[in-house]
Amino acid sequence: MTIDMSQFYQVFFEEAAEHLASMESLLLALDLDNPEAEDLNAIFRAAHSIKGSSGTFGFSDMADVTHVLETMLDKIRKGEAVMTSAMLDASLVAGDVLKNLLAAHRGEEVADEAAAAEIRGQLEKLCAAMEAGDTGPELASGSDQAASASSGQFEVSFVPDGPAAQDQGQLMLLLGETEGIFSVDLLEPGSDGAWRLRIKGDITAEKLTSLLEFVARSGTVSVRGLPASDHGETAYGFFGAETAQPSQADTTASNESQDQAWGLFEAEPSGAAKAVGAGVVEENEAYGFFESIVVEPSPVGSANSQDASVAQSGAGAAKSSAPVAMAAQGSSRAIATVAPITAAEARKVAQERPGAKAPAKSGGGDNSIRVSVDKVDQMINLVGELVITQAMLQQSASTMDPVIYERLLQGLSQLERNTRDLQESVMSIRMLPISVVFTRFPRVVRDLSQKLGKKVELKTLGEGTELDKGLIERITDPLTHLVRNSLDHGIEMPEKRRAAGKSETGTITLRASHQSGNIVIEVSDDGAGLNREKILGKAKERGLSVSDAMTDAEVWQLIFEPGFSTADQVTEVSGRGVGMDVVKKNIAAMGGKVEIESLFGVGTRMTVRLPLTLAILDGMSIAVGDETYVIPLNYIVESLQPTATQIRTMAGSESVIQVRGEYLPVIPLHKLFGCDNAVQDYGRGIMIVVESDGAKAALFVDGLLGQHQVVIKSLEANFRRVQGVSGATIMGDGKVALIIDVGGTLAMARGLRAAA
Amino acid sequence: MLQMNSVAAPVRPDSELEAGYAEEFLTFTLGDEEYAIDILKVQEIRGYDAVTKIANTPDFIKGVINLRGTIVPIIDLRIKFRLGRAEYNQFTVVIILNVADRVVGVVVDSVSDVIMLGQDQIKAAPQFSGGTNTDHITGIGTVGERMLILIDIEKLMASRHMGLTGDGALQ
Repeated sequence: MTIDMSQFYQVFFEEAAEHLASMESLLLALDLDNPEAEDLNAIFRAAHSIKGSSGTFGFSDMADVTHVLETMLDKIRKGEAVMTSAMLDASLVAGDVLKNLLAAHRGEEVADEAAAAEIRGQLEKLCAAMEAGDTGPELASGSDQAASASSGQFEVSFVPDGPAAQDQGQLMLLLGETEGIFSVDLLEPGSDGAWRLRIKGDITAEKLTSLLEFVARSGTVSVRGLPASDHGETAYGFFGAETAQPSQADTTASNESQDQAWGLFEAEPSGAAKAVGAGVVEENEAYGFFESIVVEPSPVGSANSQDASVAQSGAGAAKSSAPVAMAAQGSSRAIATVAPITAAEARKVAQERPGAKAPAKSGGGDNSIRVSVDKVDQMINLVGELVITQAMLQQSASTMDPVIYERLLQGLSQLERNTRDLQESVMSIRMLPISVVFTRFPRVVRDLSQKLGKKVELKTLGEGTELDKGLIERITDPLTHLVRNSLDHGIEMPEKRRAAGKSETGTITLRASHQSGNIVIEVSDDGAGLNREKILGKAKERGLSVSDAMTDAEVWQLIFEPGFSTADQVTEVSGRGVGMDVVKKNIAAMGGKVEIESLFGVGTRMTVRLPLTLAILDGMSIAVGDETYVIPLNYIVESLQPTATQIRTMAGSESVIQVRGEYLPVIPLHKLFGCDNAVQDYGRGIMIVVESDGAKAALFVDGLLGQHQVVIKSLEANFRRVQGVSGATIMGDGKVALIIDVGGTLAMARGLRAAA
Repeated sequence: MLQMNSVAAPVRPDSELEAGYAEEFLTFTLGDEEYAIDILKVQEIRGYDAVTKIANTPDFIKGVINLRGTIVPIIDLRIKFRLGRAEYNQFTVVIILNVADRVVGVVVDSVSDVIMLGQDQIKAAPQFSGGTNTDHITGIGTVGERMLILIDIEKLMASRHMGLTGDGALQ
């Protein structure tokens, strides 16, 4: 009899992908000379979880690869061997192979079985070498002590889930399979549906819990270590992972443990409210509603008589309690808030070892639920409609007598505040930190620099900068291209760098920040910089219209021309000239811009500017004749009422306006957009100074109507692109107003001038 | 105000299906000519509201309106076909079409009725020499004394002459 697992596949896919990603980032962050025990543990745990679940779901190819990987990692983790760079590389490749296999199971890619077999062989060889070679010094860290101390006897209770719940035979079969590893005694098949077992064998509480997760209803597993008689020191490292069901809270157990020693921790039930929450949120969301909190040791002697080693053991135990909590939740999206013990030494130790804080950090941020993007988008659309309706009401109410309708108007302004808050929080749902994108670059840089024989260090800044999920997805490829470009063309070979008096290791910096309603992402390198002469030469060769009088900024823009490449030969990495034009096109499609600054011999900085979100913008509505337009606020420098003396004509017909010592071209919008009944006399209208791409101009309009947040609606959905217009929005009165694309408008005006 | 939200497709009796291939059409007039389009392409019929003009577009594209939160372009077929006088008053009718995954509104003189045309009532469209573009005319329907010009509205709206698709930057 088999359990139908297919319904859980999606959960498995997502979890496995998460584990793979976290394993990769941990591997990349690993300092080979001085690896953090906690990091090694975390890597092992990730591999172990993948193995466990892929085996359960019957993806044996994945399980096979992970098994060998796990064996190797386990040895490293236990300190039996030292991680070498060959092992690190093999682990990364194994990660790639697993990703491929995972994608194959999802039906997205073709499984590369040869690669899987190869990496398996490689890992096996490494393992064999390990065994043959050094036994390695036993790393007597606190966490190991805790782990070994916890193997032995356990009392386990859980509520079986799925088919097993209906079928006792099924469950017994499952438990029977484990017979070889350890002995299982059934205490009672609980009347309340819970099973209590006594398990004895060479296993840790952590492993046991993760095993049981597969058959138990999530959140019901409770593993309690029993003091094994042959253990002299029962003191450290017993955990009680309590269940979320308050009725099962085993208070006696925790009291016992407290009496036993210091440094006892226990994952406490997080309260009935959260347990209910876990019940409401379905399936894959059901994990992770516990918080494991630290039970303070009995105060006797903890401050004075205990030396640092006890405190350290305590800290070690604190660390190892995190895995249990994590395993109990069956997912790395754990919420383990592990606080160090009160003993001052323990805190000091914890501070010295930043790794110990990692679980707490990940716990805080990952308290999440999965919701499909469609649902969020639908919500955003609805809120957008709500904002429009609210504005419409506001406008109708503005003519009412505030004395008679005081309460109504008060209610409306309350509604406005609430709508705005609602809109903001709904929009923030779609926001993700850019670290989601940045995390892939260490790998890209590592692989590419190895291939090219360059030494490169990657720095990332501002990973917490948030931007729209839609943008995140679309910015990844262009950014990858820019980074590869910097690495290939920017950073020089080590010898060349030395000759130029730079350090051999080049630096690529990724920096993200918010700047006035934009996301700014910089990719900078301290490499050779762009070669003006070479670019101009290539451009002439390709028959582009260039002149030596062009500014640097204009010359740099040439590299975005289709098919343009200054690479002397085509390599695997770049040089084909495809890419940079695609980068520019993709970024422009998101409403963004790419700017290049470069100094020959010093470096290059590519700056990508993107709008914060695709859906809403802050705009100034303006009147031109009978029409209303919206200008995005971030393009507006200032607005002014021109005086006759400020406006001059140039070359007969063109007008310029002098603003603070600058002469700016005047663009009468009514002429550009052919509006009727517009103000013609410059003295009676308003000039709006706008800036786009470093070019300034003054737009002449009839008047300013007000400042709004507008929901951007696509014109292209039912119509097409219109030059000078980036979209449309619905105003408070239900009418459509066009949103002006300032860059496009300036280009249009230049075109008109050129044609004239 | 004339407003027939969502013209539902009537259920065809089986007998008619057996009698031969029959389709339902919405008929409307442009000047003196009577046209018929596939009713399944029609989303709704509504009055003419103020439109927001779009700069540098052909004169038959009147602009865009807000149709319950969607931006919908409005085309005046009277101007496009140079038929009838393009006046806008409370009797002006807009047919909202759902063609080629887009929502488009067309202004016509008036909407007449919904009729069923059998295969035998539809004749092939005559071929014209010269510049008259008749690609979108699928046939001529006859109902008593009336002559209906059957047009493939989807093809018409998607054609480049309409300027609804493509990159506006090219003008």
